[in-house]
Amino acid sequence: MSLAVTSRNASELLKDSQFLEEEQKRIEQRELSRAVIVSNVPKITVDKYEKLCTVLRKVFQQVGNIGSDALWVPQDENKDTKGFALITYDTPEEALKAVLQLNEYPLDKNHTLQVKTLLDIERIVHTSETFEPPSLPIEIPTDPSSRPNLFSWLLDERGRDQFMIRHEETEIYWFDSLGIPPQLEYSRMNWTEADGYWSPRGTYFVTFHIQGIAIWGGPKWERLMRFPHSHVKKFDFSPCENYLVTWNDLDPERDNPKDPECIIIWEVATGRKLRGFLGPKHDEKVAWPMFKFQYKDEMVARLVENAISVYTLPEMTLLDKRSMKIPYIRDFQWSPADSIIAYWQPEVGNNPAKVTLVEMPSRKELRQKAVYSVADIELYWQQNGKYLCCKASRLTKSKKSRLANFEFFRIRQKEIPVEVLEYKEKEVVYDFAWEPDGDRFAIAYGDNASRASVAFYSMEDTQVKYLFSLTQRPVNRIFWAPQNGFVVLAGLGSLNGQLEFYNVNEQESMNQSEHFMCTNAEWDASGRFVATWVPYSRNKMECGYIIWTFYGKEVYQATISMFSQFLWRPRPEWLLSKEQQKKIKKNLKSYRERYEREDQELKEMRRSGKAAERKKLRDAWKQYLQSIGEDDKPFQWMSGKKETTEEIVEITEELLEFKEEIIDK
Amino acid sequence: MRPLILKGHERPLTMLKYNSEGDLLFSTAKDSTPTVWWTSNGERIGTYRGHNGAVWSIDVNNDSTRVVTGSADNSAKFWRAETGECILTWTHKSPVRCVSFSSDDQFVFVATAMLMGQSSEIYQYLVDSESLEEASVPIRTFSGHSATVTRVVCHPTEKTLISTGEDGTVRKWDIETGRNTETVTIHQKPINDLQLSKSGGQLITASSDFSAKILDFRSLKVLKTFLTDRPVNSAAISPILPHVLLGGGQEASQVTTTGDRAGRFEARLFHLIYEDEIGIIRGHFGPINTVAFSPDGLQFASGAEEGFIRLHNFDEEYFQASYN
Repeated sequence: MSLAVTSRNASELLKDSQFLEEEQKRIEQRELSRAVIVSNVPKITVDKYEKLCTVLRKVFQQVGNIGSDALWVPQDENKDTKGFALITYDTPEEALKAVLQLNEYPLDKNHTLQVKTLLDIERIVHTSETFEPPSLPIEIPTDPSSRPNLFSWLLDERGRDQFMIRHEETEIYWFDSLGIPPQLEYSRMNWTEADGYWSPRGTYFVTFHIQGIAIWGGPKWERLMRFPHSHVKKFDFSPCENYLVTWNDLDPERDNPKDPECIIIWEVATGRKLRGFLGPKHDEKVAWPMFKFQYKDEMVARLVENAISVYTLPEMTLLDKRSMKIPYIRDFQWSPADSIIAYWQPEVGNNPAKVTLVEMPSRKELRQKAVYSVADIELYWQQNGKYLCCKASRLTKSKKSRLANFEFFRIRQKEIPVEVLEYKEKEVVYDFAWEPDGDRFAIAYGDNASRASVAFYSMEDTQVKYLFSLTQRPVNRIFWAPQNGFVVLAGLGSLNGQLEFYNVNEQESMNQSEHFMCTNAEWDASGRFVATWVPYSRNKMECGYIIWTFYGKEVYQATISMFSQFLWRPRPEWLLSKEQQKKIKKNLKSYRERYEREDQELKEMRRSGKAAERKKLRDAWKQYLQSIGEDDKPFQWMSGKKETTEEIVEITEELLEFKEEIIDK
Repeated sequence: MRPLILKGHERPLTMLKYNSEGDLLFSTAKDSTPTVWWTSNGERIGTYRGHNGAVWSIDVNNDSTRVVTGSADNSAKFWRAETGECILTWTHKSPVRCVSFSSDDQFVFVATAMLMGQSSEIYQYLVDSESLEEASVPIRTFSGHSATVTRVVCHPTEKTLISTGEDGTVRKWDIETGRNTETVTIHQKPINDLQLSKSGGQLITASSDFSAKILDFRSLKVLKTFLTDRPVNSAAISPILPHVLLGGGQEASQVTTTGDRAGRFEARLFHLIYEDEIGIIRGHFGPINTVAFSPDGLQFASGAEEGFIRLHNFDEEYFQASYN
């Protein structure tokens, strides 16, 4: 206990105490959890002492090494033993094994050993005699106005968007569309130890730490919750931001089977651990996300061997107490807008590969489609859940090359009709992308990405309709704007960052440009701007980001050393109904006038502000020149018009006159 | 603004210097032949032959009769400007990085590099005497540098010398005593260039730390800072407008790692008072090593790694633009 006291004193000296204190506590807990207390040991006299030690050592060495001085059997004044022993193992894991395996160990007829870790004893000793209800993990202030408003960023007067960048620091900026540099909203030293992330609706900012992950938000960027999970590697938010999964790569053999620590499902609002799971073995390939959430956060599913386990939330119990048995299942995806799971099974023996749609929680099979001679299938849901695309890679008869084959499921139509779109031999498909909130999709394909083709199709009619294609384009990625049918066709990676801004509605190329070596592009939530960036790992000299308008005009460019990450802050779903949205679109003109006026006023204000600032700088410079006995006239006479050489001589004379005037004053 | 492109050097340019009338431009490059050009039409007048190595620095006296050059062949040479005749050669133990006339043309300052086990020194030679023997030995040495001296300039009216170093320091020296009276570290990386304002009241430094700074000559206080995203190799203050010109670009050894447009080999104009960029002048396809304004401020010259000098006469719009 003296340890704890010292730690508190030390941390008081060091003002930044919280971390140290936690660290100290952690070490202390580790020490305590290494030792086990064995009670109900036979009380014997001194002559049998050696024998007892040997027996105990033998029993407890089964689970781990016991050092020469790691076993202690206390004796009283008469050298009789007191009936208990203390054993210290090398690791807490060994101690845990001792508790699990050797508790209730029958030493002889009268003595059944009781094994507890010292940590347990510590806890039992410190349990108070009277019952106190547990306090809530977060203290919810009684006054609701003192709670941070997590949506404050959505109340920005001008509807601006935020983004996060990481370089040596982690910073959050407001992006201003009126041609001024982004304005810093918040930054914090060593905010995160790995990449930072936004939650899917943008409410929280997620940071990684050795001890676990933390979420931040509100107008003052307070830390809202911590999820302690040491050495956390990955995390995933549920779509409605109610739950969180974290994974720390802990080997299942070292995990505690009673209360696994490798994968943890958390409740975001309370920080409560709902349930832990054993992780995959180290040699298994990890597919992340391991747990996939249903769109309304009611269920979460995990792919296990030959089955999908679906758990209900927040109870985290297995749905209907059994997993869904699906032999050889390879992958599954939840629909983003319905309680439907799509999964696929590979070809086995004479049975073809199958894509199946299942409704949850009823487990009713909605549709099954067989696909022949398939090597791999990728499932792409359209954002509104209206369509599902299965991209099937087929082997040719010679089994040398692969053909791509798209199957389209119309989810909302009766019987879910399926259509097939095939691609010719030799043509590699680089990317497939649904138009978010629309009925179109685009496919980039060809035999060489530097002159690929991009084909656009529509699902609007009863059949998949070919719209048009673009050829000879350096494209390997397609980025649709969140709305309005704009698209960025990008040649990333080996194509060195070629960009084309395309209007699909008008079939018009709006601009072509390049952001040299950029590795990624992302639309902001409003669909007005696109960001492209080059991380430090790709190019040490040129790293940074560019923000473009939807039609491809560069608005802002920043080169930042050690730049690594750019992320627009997502926005929650629109609260307006489809009708209201339509109405707004119809009356766009009246809105436009208003916004243009506002923009104009703001520009005017900024201009005059800047002019005043510049005047101040000019005056300061003038004052400086006067203070060192120079005059600033040479800087002023030229601001009018260009003079010829002869005139310059004249001007020099004028200068002298001016000087005299100053002296007169 | 159609620039004159002066093609005469075969190696990267190292320094450009206008004479005080502005009709002549002196250039040095790593090809051992300093050259003099007419600024009005870009015609080459002649070269100064004699050095056996890269020439790092050049200066010309006020009446354009004498020229001094410093070279990596460990020597500095004193020339008759008009004939190209070498009057005197000073030999040192390490490459000469910088040469400079004192403001009254009485003396020449020669700075040597901290290389080959030698410390960096500034030597002062008396050059307006008739006796060559007297001129060949330094009358004073300014010692105590912690890194190679890159530039030396002399105040037009005061007996003060300013030197800059590869350690990012600016040092002030008393010419009468040879004492280092003040040292400030204002850059994190080497200072590549140092030039005076027309009045001599301000200095501008150019550094590999991507910035240029304007200092007050007397107090060595930083007055203005100009930030870029590339090493700055050279900087000059316009004699007539509150403008500064920066030249630089990615280091030559790094050029192949970026795209053709991404090297940023432009000359950049900044507003002296607001510290804002007001224009860029493209044209070079290697990093710019040296820039200079003509004394009348109507022209500037830039010399780059690719071996070309560009002479730009400013357009009328340049003088009409208002930045209030």
